[in-house]
Amino acid sequence: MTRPELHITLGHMLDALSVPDIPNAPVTTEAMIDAAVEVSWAMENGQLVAAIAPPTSRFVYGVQNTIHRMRFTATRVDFDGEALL
Amino acid sequence: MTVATPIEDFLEAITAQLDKTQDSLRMKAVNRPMTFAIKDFNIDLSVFVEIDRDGIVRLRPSGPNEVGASIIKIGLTTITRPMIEENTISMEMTQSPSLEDAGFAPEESKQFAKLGVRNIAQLNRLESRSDTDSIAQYSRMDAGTLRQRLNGARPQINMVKIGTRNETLPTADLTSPRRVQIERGQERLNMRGRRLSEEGIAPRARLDGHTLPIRSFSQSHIDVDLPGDRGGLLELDLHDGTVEVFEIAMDDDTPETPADTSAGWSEPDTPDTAEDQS
Repeated sequence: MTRPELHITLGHMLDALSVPDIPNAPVTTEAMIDAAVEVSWAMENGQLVAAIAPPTSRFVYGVQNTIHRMRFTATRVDFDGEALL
Repeated sequence: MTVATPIEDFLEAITAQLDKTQDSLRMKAVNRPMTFAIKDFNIDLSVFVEIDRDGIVRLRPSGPNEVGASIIKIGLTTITRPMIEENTISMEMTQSPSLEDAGFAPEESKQFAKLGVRNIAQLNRLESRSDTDSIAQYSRMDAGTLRQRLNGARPQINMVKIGTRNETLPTADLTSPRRVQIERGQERLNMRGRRLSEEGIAPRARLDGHTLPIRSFSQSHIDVDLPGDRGGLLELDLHDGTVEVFEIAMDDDTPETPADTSAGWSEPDTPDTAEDQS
C-alpha cells in the first residue's frame, strides 16, 4: 500500500480532532500527538517527497519496516488569515 | 529510496509538507473559522549518516531489518517574522553573485564554503573585517590569486545612457578616461553594470561636491538626476567603498536657452502661426 504524503496524514489527524459544532459540546483545544510512523521517501519532479503514515505492515515473518517517531502539538485557533506555522 | 540524500533535501521535504498542511488548513478555514494549527512538529528518523568526499552530509533512510541506524531528531516550531529576519541572511545578500560566477574555481569555492562564504557579498564582508592575507591563509589560497579574483569581482560600470526624464535613453559616448558628453537639458544619467548595489545599500552621487538625487538603483543599474544645465565631476560612492568618477562634459556648442528670460519661462515650441495665416 502506498503511503500518503505527510500533509495528507497530518490533515487526517487534525480532522480527527475536530468535533461537530454542537452547543455546549466539549471541544479539543490542544492536542499533543506522539505517533509511530513508517516513512518512505521518493523523488517527484526532482524534489524529495516525504510520505509518512502510521504503520500498516505487521510483522509476520522476515521483514519489519523501520518504525520512526513523529510528535506534534496542534492548537485550536480562531483563524483570521494569519500564518499558522 | 535507498540512495543517500543531502540533509537539506530532507529538511526541505518535511517543511514543504508542512507548508501544504498550512495551505489546506487555510482552505478549510474559509467555512470553519475555528481550525487547528500545528504549533510544534518533531520527527525522529532512523537513518544512516554518510559524509562524501566533498564534505556533504547525506542521509540514507534505514530499510527493513537494517540494524545500527542513527536517530536524527528534527524539530520544527513556530517562529515570528522578526525571528526569521534575525536568524537569516538578508535577501540582498543571497542575491550577490556566487564565487564561481565571479571566477573562483570550484575547489576554491569549496574552501570558502567551509568559512561560511558562499558569495561575493559575504567575501567582501569578511575582507572588510579582516585582511586579504589572512583570508588567503585560512582558505588555503594564494594571496595574489585571491586579490586578482577580488579585483575582478569589484563593481563595474559598463554602459552609460543619458537623456531627458521621459525619453528612451540612448547610449552615451563613454570615452576614456570616463568622460560623458551631454547636452543642455539632458538631466538623466543611467549607468549599467554589475554589483552596483548590494544589501540594499544605496549608492551616493555628487556633482562637483553637490549631492545628486538617485532616482532608482539595483545591482545592475543606477539612475541619477543631473541638474541639466551644467557638467562637472561626478563621483559615485558604491556599497563596497569604491568611488567611480566620471567627467560630465556639457556641450558648449549647444544653443543657450533664449536670452529673454524675464517672463520666467520661454514659450514651448509652437507652430509658426504667421506661416499658417498665409
